[in-house]
Amino acid sequence: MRQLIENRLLPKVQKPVRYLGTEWNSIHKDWKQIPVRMVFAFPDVYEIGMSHLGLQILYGLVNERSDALMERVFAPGEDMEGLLRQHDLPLFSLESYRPLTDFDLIGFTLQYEMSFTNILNMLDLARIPLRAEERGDKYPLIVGGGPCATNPEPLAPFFDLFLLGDAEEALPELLEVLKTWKEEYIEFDKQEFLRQAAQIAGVYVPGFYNVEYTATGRVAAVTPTKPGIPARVRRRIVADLDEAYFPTKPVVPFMETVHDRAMVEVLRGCTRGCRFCQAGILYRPVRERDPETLARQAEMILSQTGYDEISLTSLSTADYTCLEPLIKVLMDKHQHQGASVSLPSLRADAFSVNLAKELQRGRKSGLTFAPEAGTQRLRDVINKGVREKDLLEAVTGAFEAGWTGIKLYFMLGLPTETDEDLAGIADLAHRVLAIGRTISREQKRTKKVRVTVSVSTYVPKAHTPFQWEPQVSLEEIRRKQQYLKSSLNKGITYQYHDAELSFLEAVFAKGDRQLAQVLELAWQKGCKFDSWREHFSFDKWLEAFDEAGIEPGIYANEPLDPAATLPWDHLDMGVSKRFLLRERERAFKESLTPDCREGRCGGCDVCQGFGVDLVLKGGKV
Amino acid sequence: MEVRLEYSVGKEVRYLSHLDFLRLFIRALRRAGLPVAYSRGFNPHPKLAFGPPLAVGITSTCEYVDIELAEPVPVAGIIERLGQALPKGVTIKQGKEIKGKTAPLMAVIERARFQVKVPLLEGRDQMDLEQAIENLMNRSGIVVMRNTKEGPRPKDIRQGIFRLAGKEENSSAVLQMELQVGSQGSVRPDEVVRGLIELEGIPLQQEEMEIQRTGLFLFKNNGLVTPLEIL
Ligand code: SF4
Repeated sequence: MRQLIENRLLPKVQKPVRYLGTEWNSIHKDWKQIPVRMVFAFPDVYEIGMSHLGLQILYGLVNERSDALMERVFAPGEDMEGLLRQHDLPLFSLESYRPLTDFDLIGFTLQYEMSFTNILNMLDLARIPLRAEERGDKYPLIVGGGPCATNPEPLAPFFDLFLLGDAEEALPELLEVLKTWKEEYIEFDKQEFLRQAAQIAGVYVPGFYNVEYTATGRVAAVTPTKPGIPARVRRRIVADLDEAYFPTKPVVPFMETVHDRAMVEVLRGCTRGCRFCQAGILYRPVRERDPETLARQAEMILSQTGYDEISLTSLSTADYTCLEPLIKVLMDKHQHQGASVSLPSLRADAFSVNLAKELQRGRKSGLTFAPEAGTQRLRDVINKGVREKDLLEAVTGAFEAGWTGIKLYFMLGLPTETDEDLAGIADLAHRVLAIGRTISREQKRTKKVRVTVSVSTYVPKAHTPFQWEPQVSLEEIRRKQQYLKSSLNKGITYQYHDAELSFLEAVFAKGDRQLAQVLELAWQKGCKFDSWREHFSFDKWLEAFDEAGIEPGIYANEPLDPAATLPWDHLDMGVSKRFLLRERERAFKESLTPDCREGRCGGCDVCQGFGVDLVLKGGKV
Repeated sequence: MEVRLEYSVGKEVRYLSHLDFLRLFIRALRRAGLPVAYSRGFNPHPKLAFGPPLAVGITSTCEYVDIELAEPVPVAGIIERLGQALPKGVTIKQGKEIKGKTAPLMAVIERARFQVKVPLLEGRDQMDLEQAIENLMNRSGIVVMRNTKEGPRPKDIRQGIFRLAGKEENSSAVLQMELQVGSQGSVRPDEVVRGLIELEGIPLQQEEMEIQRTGLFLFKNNGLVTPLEIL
């Protein structure tokens, strides 16, 4: 198969390097020696998937074991898909060029809702029946993990099981169970295996739950159908990141990827408590890594990869309590070898700009800040603790330091938003532009000041304080987008997302199992790579909803009753519903909840529930 | 110090683009712990200079790169350490220190040799192939279509073909070519193959072509020498 693909298919595709599988640090194990074989499947193209830290972590973690191997597969590009189908070849793994059906387990990462059709397409290309019930004992187990696994209900019929939370914990335990089956040469009995797997904390086997619906078609109850199956599945959590595995020999792609640099993970979790933010709930509490661990890991990664840039990644790296000493150590050690340090995101304050100033190498083209909302009132609603003063200070500092482009990131359609809040966005942007122009004039610069307003449409997500809120209607999204556009001066660049795409995201983010049929129909109509503008076809999606007899607006645009059962209530993130409801109330009262890193527990119940605590290496902030 | 290395590009890495190779060498040098010199200025970049880019899909026995190091390292040491840090398919064959000034590889290399193996579609005997090559070379012009930024344009490649020979082996044509390359313009081996197909009617299966670059040369006293020989 490898010869055929290399000689006949690769010359015809646009980006053949995507499919080589022989990158530096890629691992090619001898199949005969290894009982448990897994492939990590990323339902998007190579250059996006290879930028994903989770892949590198699990790839290293599993391949370190002598009894298991992990290979990789990505969604093939359209040209490659066409050639595979034309030559009647199945989707193959990159390392061994084997068909996916050769593996015991296929692990899909669920990063965004609009990648769901790609999963179905990949299963089809791999010649695996889409629905778990059609698969019998011979096919690989289809496993899902990642943020969308916290409400995977629209995917439930296609998967055998989901892993909730930090996969470093549950995956090895799952592989152990699988190994016992494989080593004892017992004929594989999937149902029995799944029953055993369901005993592992964090493993959710959707087939063992029955969903009842109300007369209006909403979820009424989700209950286990077998004895010994937990009524609620709680996510897993790595308590101590210093003890946790971290890959120091990550795969180095041949081609340029989205994040083409070394990565260390400085912390996991964020407790700033933005009420729209799902990640802020899913990864609680804050767990920092020791700066010494990080410095050691950074050194190993740089020497094993040859990268010249190290990115300090996390949900909010500027919050890391040991950031400055860590940066100093890294710079002292690696700067003379031409390596630089970078941060993935900035907080809107002077501290962050000073950091950026120190780290920036080369041209100062653009900085991005995320005030998220245009008025203080709305920022209080969403608990985004950015003051206008902080933001203006930050941009002033940035312009003075020589940056010429500022991007401001906002959300449109947040709960309680009015046109006044949108006008606030325009107002803020105009002020930033004015500051930039003044400084530019004073410093006699020739390069034009650019201010970009980038607006995404708010998508209410499961497990957040706004999970009961509807998304504003499609027409209203479009009206708001146009209203904002008309409020902005010509000097501002305005970017906004496809309204239809955000609408579908809202449908699936809070979806239930009834949507599986829609996914399948949409895929049959040719929907895939939906998050890519040139592929996205809203009409096909509407046809799919129509054929399934499902009204998408019910999911996206209707409020949910706080007393009712939610489709994802049986999946426990460790954050209590009581806390989410309290946060929701406080939102509507425009009252702020402080970050628990400052010393006062906000009562989300994660720490008590998991028996863990915040881990702040530099002490409380 | 500056060093010129000769390396080969095997099947494993033939689909890498020129930019991919640049990235690969920079990272391999860093992994090898070799002290690459960086340019000054706003965006410092490592001082590496390659010969004429190898088209995607082609293997080679003789690519060249000039590398500047911040501190002297024995050439044998460079070859060994870099060799260990390169992926399968890239092999450093030899190298020489560059003493004094040399012109950039990209500017001085003018000739390239290729070996092209391409299946014959139906039974043609050797006479036919050799005759076809002779006929082609006897033409005063060989016009093929070339993709340019403005779309496909006719291009006469005759002046850029300096040698063409071939014979049949296991129902494939094995062709040896010496072609013009470099800043004065290049002829691609697949264009020559298209000339044989389109002008001489040789039924070659273009899609299954295997191309290898087998030599790069520059002129010295009217003779061809390799980039290492000139040092
Ligand atoms: S339980 Fe308290 S301290 Fe722990 S994450 Fe929740 S709010 Fe913060």
